[in-house]
Amino acid sequence: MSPARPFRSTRLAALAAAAISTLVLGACGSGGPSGGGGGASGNTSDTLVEAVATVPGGLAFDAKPGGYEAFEYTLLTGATLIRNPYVESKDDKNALTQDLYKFEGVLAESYDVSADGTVFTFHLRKGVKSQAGNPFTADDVLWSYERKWNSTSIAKSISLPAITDPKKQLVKVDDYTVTFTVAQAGHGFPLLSVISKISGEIYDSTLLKSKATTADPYAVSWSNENGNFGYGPYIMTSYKQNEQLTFDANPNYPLGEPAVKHVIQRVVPDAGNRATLVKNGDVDVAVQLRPADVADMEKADSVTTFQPDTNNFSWIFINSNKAPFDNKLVRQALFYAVPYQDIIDQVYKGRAKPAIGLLDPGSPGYDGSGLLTQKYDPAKSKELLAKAGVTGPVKYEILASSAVPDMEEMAVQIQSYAKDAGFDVTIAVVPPATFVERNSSGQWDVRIYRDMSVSYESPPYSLLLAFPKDNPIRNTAGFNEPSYYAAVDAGVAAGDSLSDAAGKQWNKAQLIWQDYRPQIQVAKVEPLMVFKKGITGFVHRTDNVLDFSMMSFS
Amino acid sequence: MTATAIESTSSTLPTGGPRAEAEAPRRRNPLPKGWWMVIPPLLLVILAVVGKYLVPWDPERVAGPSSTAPNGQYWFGTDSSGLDVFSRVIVATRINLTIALIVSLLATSGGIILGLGIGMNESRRGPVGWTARGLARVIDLIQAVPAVLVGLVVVAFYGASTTSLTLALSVILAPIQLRLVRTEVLRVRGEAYVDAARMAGLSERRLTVRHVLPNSSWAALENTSVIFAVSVILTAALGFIGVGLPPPTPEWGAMLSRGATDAIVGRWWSAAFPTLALAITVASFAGLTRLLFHRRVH
Repeated sequence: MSPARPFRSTRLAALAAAAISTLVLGACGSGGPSGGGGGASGNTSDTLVEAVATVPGGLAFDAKPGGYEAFEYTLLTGATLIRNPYVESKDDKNALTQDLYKFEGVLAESYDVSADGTVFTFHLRKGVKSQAGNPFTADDVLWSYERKWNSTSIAKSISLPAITDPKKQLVKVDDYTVTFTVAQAGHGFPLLSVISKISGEIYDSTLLKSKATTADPYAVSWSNENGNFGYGPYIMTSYKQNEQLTFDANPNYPLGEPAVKHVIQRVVPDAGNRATLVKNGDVDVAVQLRPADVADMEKADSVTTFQPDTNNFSWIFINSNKAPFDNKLVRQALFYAVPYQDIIDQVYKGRAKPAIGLLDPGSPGYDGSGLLTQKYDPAKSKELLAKAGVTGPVKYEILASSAVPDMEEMAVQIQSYAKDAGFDVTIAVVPPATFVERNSSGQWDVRIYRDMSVSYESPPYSLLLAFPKDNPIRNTAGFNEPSYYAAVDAGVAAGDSLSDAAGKQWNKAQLIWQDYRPQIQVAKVEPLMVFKKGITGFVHRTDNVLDFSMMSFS
Repeated sequence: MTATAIESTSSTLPTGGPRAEAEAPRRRNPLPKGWWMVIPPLLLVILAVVGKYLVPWDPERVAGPSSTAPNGQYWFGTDSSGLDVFSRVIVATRINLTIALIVSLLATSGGIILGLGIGMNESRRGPVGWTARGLARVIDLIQAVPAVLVGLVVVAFYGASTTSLTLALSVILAPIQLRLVRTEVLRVRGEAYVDAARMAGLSERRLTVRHVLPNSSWAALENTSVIFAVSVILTAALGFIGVGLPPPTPEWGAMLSRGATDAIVGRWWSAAFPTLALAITVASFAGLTRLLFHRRVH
């Protein structure tokens, strides 16, 4: 016989168990600063601490590591031939932004364009050394593109249609001169646009050739694991998995040694923790924050938030290969069933702007006539559904990735307003790997995500990015309208991509896209980075990562 | 108080004092001791049944501005999507209680039946003994696999729904009950009264049902409150890794894990109220389990 225990202890034990479980769950959800450094920045005047969500999954762009951290790593350690110069943002005096229609040299000192606009001659800087100490020459440029075209790199597909065959298009004139030849003048601006972004990074071919093996002839795997194979402003000095990365300024960087001499990227998995750390001054910079947290910090004295116009788009893609969205009218109805303003107000707390069309409305030659303004109009949606012969609510599932928390909030907004517009929505928020797998296998009705179009100032790039011809792996929405591609081709044939004549063709393409409605633009989200007061040099880039070489302590 | 008053008070005490009171026959209470412990779980069950008719807002539709602190209109505030936290906490009672109660029932009954079968046959010779011993090792093996992983596999096969989650959690948690019962069976079957019953000619089946079962299942029955709590937590954990009930289904665990990030930046309400509901529920059902199943003397 065992004596009955007093009830009080059982109840207390149960409460304690619940509390502990709650704490465990909370910990699972929130994570915390890792790396043993806690939240303390410990910065000196030349060391900057950035709170990041994770370390890059890989260090080579050509190995497709993806994600914010991988892009930021590429910008920290890599360099391109040219770049867009930085100018003050029209929307925020504290922020710089890229002048997307001008170019300045980085690894190239200058470039010339032939009279017919098809040959671009780049004059390379002399005396530039890689992070490994190898001199930079024209061979590095040619070998870099050879590698991009002979690996799993996305550079190959996103460089189309300007670069189709680098073996023929890139020619070494001498050790410090390289030419890029494009098929027609209309590819000129798209060429400059794409090679000025991170996919145009140039590698230290001397180093990588020495690391090549039969199984890895371009040392993609080696560079993905080891890093430091370029000419960028920083040199990675340590990589601790799930903890932190450290960088030192590169004294050989062609544009001059950066002012911030040391950068520490410390892993803080939870966005809320990152926000708290920067607000409390425990780190200098926090990135990938939630829009609501950034909005909360707008009035805080301890930090600076930024409001430049961005290309950080919230997108809705519609699977036109699958019923009921194989009917164009149902897709058009969906356009009117999205509560755009509520998403901007509630999900983004006003830190987003409406996004219309696929192109930059500020580009020279832009023609936006006929493009519809976003509007939640349930009556119009029902009218279109009736026209499509649909009776009863149209059932569909929204697929979103759990890696982007505002997507679930956006999905809830869409779901809440869908019923009045004739749709019955369920939501599936899945891990990133499942999201990618379901996307590529076509197992989705509608998918939402936030991403950027890195060279969105280039009309052919932006128009073909999600809808490339004969490429079902990337064109998962199944939009393959021949008249659309004909309009894009006509725009390229018009010569200068930024001319009025080309602008008319881009507009034509956009109207076809709008009519077929494979995609809905929802909003452009303002930067999700916050700086501690006293840190300057924020640049909004189209790749949406920070350029540390521009930053300094004021 | 004066001395006279003290004397006066003393004179009103019953003759014989406290000792005599202790010796007086006790009045019989018609209700069992601790009967009131039934009330909180009963209230929760009532809330689960009628709660959705009482809430001011649709728990799955945006009710107002997102991240609003508790006020007169939104008693528990709104979450980051603008859903009313009060309505969701109340309506989630049904889902959480349904899953937890069914899982507790399935895992405990399954655990008792299998534990009894294995425990009683483990020392036998021949195929029955081999099977029992083999099953015991298989259970060890299942317990070695992380619970969330097992849940993940089951949900991956059958999709995320209340039924599949219930099934997954029952599979995960039954071995805990089974091992408790098996251990007790191994102890009980060696007791003298069991031998005596056997000597008296009781068949093995009747012996198991009449003597071994009641004396070896108490541990599992008392442990039901833990199973209940763990099933709520695991429902939340599966939701956290993306295989739980689809959003915005009101479910305490999912609300908690989604609200945790808000709590860090000071928007405490979307995580605090489901946490409170979870704690109250677990404590209530722990009390009920204690009342119903605490170890009885054989």
